[in-house]
Amino acid sequence: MTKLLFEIIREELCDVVGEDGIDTSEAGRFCYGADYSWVSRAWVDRGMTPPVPDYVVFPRSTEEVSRVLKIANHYKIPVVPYGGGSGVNGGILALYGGIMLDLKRMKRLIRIDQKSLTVTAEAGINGEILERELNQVGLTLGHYPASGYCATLGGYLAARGSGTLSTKYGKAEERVVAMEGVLPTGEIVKTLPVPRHATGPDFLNFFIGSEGTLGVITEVTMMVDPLPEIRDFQGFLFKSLANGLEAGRRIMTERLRPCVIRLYDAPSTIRFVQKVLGIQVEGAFMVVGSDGKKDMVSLEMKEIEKICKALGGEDQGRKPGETWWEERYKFYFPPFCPDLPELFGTMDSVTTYDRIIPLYEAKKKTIEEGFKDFGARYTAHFSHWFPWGTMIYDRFFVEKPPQDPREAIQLHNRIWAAAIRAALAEGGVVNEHHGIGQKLGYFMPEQFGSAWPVLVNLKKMLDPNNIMNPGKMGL
Amino acid sequence: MFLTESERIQTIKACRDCPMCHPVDLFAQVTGKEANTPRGRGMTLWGLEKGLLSWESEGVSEIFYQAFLDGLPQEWCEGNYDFDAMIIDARKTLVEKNLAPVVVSEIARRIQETGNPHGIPEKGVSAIVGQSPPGTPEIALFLGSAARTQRPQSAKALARILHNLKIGFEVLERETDSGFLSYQLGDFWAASEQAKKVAEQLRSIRAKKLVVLSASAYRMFTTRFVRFGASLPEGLKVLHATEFLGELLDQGKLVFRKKLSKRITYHDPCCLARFTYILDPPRKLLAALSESPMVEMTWNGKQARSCGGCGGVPFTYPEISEKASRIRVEEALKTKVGILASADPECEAMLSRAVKEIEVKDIVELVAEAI
Repeated sequence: MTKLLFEIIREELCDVVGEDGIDTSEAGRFCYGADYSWVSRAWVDRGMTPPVPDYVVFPRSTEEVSRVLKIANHYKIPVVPYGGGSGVNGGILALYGGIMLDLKRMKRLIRIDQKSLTVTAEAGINGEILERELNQVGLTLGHYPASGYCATLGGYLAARGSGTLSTKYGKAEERVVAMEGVLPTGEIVKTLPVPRHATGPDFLNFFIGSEGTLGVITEVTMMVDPLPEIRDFQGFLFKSLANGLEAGRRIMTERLRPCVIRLYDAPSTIRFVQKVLGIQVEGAFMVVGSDGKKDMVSLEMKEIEKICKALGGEDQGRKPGETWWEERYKFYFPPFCPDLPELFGTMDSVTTYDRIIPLYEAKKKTIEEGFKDFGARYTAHFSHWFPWGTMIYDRFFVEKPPQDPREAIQLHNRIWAAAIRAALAEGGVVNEHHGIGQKLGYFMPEQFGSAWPVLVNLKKMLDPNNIMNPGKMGL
Repeated sequence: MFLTESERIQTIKACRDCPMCHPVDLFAQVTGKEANTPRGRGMTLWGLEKGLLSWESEGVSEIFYQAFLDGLPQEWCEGNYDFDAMIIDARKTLVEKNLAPVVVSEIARRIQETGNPHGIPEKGVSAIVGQSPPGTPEIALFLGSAARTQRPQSAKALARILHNLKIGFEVLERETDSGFLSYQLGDFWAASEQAKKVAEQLRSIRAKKLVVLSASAYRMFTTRFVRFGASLPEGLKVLHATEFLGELLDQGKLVFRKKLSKRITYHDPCCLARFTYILDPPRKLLAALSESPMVEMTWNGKQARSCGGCGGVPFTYPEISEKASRIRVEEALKTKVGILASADPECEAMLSRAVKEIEVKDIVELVAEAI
């Protein structure tokens, strides 16, 4: 971009958002050079220049977003929507420069409907702030992702997030009632007022999971729930992971409705349960919880206990589960979270109950045997359970990665690629709730097969100049 | 520097990638900018460490002065990293490199000339609190700059209480700023000079108890004074005004004859809640003087949001400071009370400018009304 063009575009953006609504300073732009992805962090850690946007723009309304996108289209410059920056797959990296559209000024809580139990808010509202506002009137969003302290409402949906209680409350996408968004060419569109209808295809899915490649989510109506009368937890220890998985399957297929089932494999029990929570157990540790009306919770927990004990689950009492709940975010703060200089990756996937054990074993083998020379280790837990299957939240670790940033990133990508292909071969998916971002984009054609060109053509139709978050999601 | 080099690097490394304290950084809540989050500041510091940015780079100085330093990110952080100290160290570097905002040196000059950061000429503390009841002074008072220049109500109220209870007091007639603001702004030389000057003034008092109205001065005396080369007279016990009044309540000397009927919420000053852990005395006083239980705001106690008065922001970015005050006030309005109480004249000055709908009062004022 020439200096003159830079100034011309800057002035036009200022005309929309005001001088206060744009940051072109070197330091201000530098702060958008990495997200929570290992590659972007390692890049900066090793002193490499990160990808930065040319402009950071802070719109205050849907109309301003629309006008910004029209400018970007006119000049054919990229736009990257930005919320909390908590993505782990490089979804917000400004790989081609352009405009970083930080939506955090769009944070109004517009309406709480206490009769229908819905909340309407702008997309940039912080998850924790929204949750506290709802709690004040006895409600909850029911969405408790690890990123809840930093992610935004729009981010929950753009990346198809799950929460720690999504086994009962559903993934973020299942809680959407309606939304407003801006298409890449600047048109403001609203979905139908309710999500269940027989009025054609669901417009909601233009935006859900699109990671900013098909437009910008600007306003959302979500369903909310009353805060539960009680929330009860119990811990169980299984001698084998298979028994724990079978217990979880029976709980779900007998159609009980736990708010959480969290099953750690033996290495994960040591690394996270023992070391972070201080719960001294060995084996496959499971936390199960139920919430709602007191009598129903009591009955549900009794049924859960029966199933777990029948499969050899040793009752660990309430304390471990309560400790996990109280400290569930502690895992994600330094120094308790996986951190540099260690090389690590979080590669969640999901499949049906009949394939979950082979999938786990295939990924474990791929990593621990395939990258033995690098000392690669593998941990997994299973934390979002569906009526038909479960999600595997698994990680790889290499304690002493190569010092050269290129070599380290190569190793990182090779481990991840091998693990993903192992998951795909076992009927899994590229990702369950962390999204695709830049990192996993090249697996999308493998994942979608002959359906992939449909998505590519949809992108071309909606975003003819390919301005929206280019280089992400394989688009 | 308040962090060792090893602690400083550890803190930068922890903050540069971590977005977990986004909801508690008040500056970022106002501006929505990533650069105004602890992660943004950590990332900037790492960029400086690695030579990807320089201290002279456009926007660097602004990033470090755009922070409230209210202690909430550290309180929130499971790793307990001292984020504020990391930023204050960066500010100190900027001051040394002559890259700090002009107002930083201007504040030091004003304090030197007038004793307060506003540069307001003062008539002396006695002009505010009047004369002590007769007898040997039992306590000395330290008002702080805000009570001397902007919000004298609590100082006057404290004097009324002392007269009512016949407790003799003495004052530092030419009291000057404690040095806290200059410390927060990274002007360590000025902070040290100011602290030493107050220490010198304190050597003239006869009482063995120093009762402090200002939360920041209380924090300075109890946690930072020695680090700036100043020392309190031997045997001097420093109490915040709410601690002192709480003691009188426990001893049965403070009796409330006219309990207040208006419902009250309480704003915890950052310097009390998170740095000196004075959480109970204010609540105990409010419970005793009011007819109905105090109503807590959503963010309260150790997690109370700032009033917008911390980190020198009212001087460096007054418009952001005002917006931050309004965020706190809106939280108070949701409690549907009649009175927003606090325990620091600076907080009350900030909050009262941001609200017309309810009264803003110091607990000391409420005590004076209720006895």
